[in-house]
Amino acid sequence: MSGKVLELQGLVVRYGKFTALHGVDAVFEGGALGLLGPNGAGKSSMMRSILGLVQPGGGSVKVLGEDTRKAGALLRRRIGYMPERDAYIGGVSGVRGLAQLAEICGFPNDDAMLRAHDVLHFVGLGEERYREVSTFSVGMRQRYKLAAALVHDPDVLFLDEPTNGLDPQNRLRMLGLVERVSKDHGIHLILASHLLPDVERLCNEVWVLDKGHMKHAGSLAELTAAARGAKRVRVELDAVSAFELVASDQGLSVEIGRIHGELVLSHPEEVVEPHVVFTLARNAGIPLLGIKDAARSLEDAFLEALEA
Amino acid sequence: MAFRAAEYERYDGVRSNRPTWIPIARATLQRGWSSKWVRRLTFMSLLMGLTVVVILYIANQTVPDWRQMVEEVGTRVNEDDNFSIDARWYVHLTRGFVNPFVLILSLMFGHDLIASDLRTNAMEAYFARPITPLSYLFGRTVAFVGFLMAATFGPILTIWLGDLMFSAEGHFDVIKHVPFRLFFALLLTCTTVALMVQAITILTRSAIWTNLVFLVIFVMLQGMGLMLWGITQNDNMLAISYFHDTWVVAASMLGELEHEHGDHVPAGLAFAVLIGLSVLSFAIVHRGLKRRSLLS
Repeated sequence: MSGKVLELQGLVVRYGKFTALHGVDAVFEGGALGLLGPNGAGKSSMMRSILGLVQPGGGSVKVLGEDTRKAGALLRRRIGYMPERDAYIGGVSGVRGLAQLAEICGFPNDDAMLRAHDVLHFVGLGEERYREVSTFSVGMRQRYKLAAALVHDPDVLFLDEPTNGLDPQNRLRMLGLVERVSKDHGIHLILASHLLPDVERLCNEVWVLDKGHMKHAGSLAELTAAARGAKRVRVELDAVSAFELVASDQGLSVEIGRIHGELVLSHPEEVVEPHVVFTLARNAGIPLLGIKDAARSLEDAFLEALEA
Repeated sequence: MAFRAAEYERYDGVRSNRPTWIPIARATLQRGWSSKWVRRLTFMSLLMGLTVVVILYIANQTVPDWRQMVEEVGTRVNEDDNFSIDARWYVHLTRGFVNPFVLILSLMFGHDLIASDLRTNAMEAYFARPITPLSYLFGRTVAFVGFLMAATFGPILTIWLGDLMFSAEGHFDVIKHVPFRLFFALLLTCTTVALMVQAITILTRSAIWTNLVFLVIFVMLQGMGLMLWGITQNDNMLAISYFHDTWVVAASMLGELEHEHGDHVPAGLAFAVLIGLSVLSFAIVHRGLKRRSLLS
C-alpha cells in the first residue's frame, strides 16, 4: 500500500453561492481513511467531487496518481462507491442490475453476471439475488449497495455512511465485510461516517472536516493521542487530592477523569511508564485500584479537533 | 474467478474497452422487452405488416391483375391521372404505422426511460462509473429508437418484401428506393420522439408528467395546427403538428411530395422542425445530465 491513493490540492466545491469545501489540501497514502465531520461539514461533497458527481469549483484531485479531470471516466473503473442514499437500477432483479453495472466497467457479459452472483453471495444476499431491490429491507439494501460498489473489483472503495439505519447485528456484519475486503485484499478504503466507533474499528487515518475546512488530517492514533502514553489511574476517592499533588511534583500533567477516583496522568514529551506510576503510589502510600492506557476516545478527539 | 459466498476475490479477467453506451442500450432493450405491452405492440405491428403481405399474396393468386384494377379505380375516385401503387403507397403506410405505434410505445415505455432512474437514484450508480452523460443518453436513445423502428419500419419493410415478391418484374424499379430512404425518414422521426420524451422527463422529472406533456404536444398540437391553418389558411401552420411533419418528411424522402394534392408544409420546414426539435431536446437532456442536477 505505497504511493498516494488520494491527493487533494485546494479543492473547492460550490453549490451556487454556497461553498461546501474551501480549498482543502490533504494526502492519503493508503490503507483505510475515515472522513469525519458534523452534518454539512463537506464529507459527501468531497466524495462526490472526487468521483466527478459534482464538478469541483477549483483545485485538483488525484486518485491513484491520476488527475480526475483528465482520467475521470477510466479512473472510475478503479473506484467503488457506496452512496448514502439508495441507488439501484429499478425494474430488474438485483443480480441483473449488478451485472449491468459491472458491464459498464468493462466486464465481459458472462463475467459480469458471474461476478454479480458471487458478490451477492459474499454480502449474504445470495438467496435474494433474483428479487427486485425495491423489495429489500433497509439492511439488505445497504449490503446490496456494498455489493454494487464491489462488483467491478475496485482498487479504492468509497463508503458514505455504510451502517446508516442498520440494527447492531447488521452493523457488525457490514463492518466485518468491509474490514475483510479492506484488510485481506488490499482495497483502499475511504469511509465517511457519523459513527465514530465504525471509523475507529476500520480506519488507520482520519480527516476531520468542519464547515468545508480541514481540521485534522493524520493517523487515528495521533488524533486519539494513544501514542502519547498517557495513563488512566484509579485510586480511593479520598486519596485523589494527595495523588494529584504527588504527581504534579514529579512534573506530570494531571486531569481528573470522568469517573470517581480516576486521574489521567500524562507528560508533554514522554510516555508515562507504569513503573513511574507505581513508584509514585508507593512513595505516597496510596493503594492503586487500577491503571490502564489513557487513549482519548475518538469522540473526545473529534470534538477537540472541531473546537480547535 | 468465481468465489461463491465465503470470501471475496479479486477479478483477474480481462476488461474490455467497448463503449459504455453499449451496456446501457442493452439494459434498456432488456427492460423494454421485459414489458409485455411493449412486446405485444411490437409483435402487433409486425403482424399487421405480415397480414398485408398475406392479403397481397391472396390478391395475387385470386385476381392476378388486381393492381391495374385498383389503379383504375384510384384514378377515377381521386380524379388523379397518375394513380399507381408505387412508393406513394408507402407514404400512406408510414402514416398508418407511425401515428399509433410511436404514440403508444412512447406512452408505455419511453416515459420511464429516465424517470425510472430518477426514482431509484440509479443515476448516482451510473455516473460513479466510467460513463459519460453522452454515452448514457446515446445508449438510452439507441434502444428506444430500436423499438420505435421495429414497430414502424419493421412492418413496412415486411410489406415491401411481400410487394416485391408478388409483383411483376418491372415493379422493383418503381419501389427499389423505398427501404433505404424510408429508413432515414423514420430514423429522423423516431430519434426526434426518443429525444423529446427524454427532454420532457428531464424538465418534469416525473413519468406521469412526461406522458401528460407528451400527449399535449402530440395530440393537441395536431388539432391546433389544423385549427390555425383553418383560420389563417397558412400552410406553414401545419408544421406544429409532429405527425404532419413526419408524413411530409417521409413523402419528401420518397420523392412523392409533389404528387400530394392535400395542403402541406414545405419539406424544408418539416425537416427543420424535426431536426430542430431533436437538437433542442438533445441539448436539454445532455445539459441536465452533465450538470448532474438530477442527482440527489
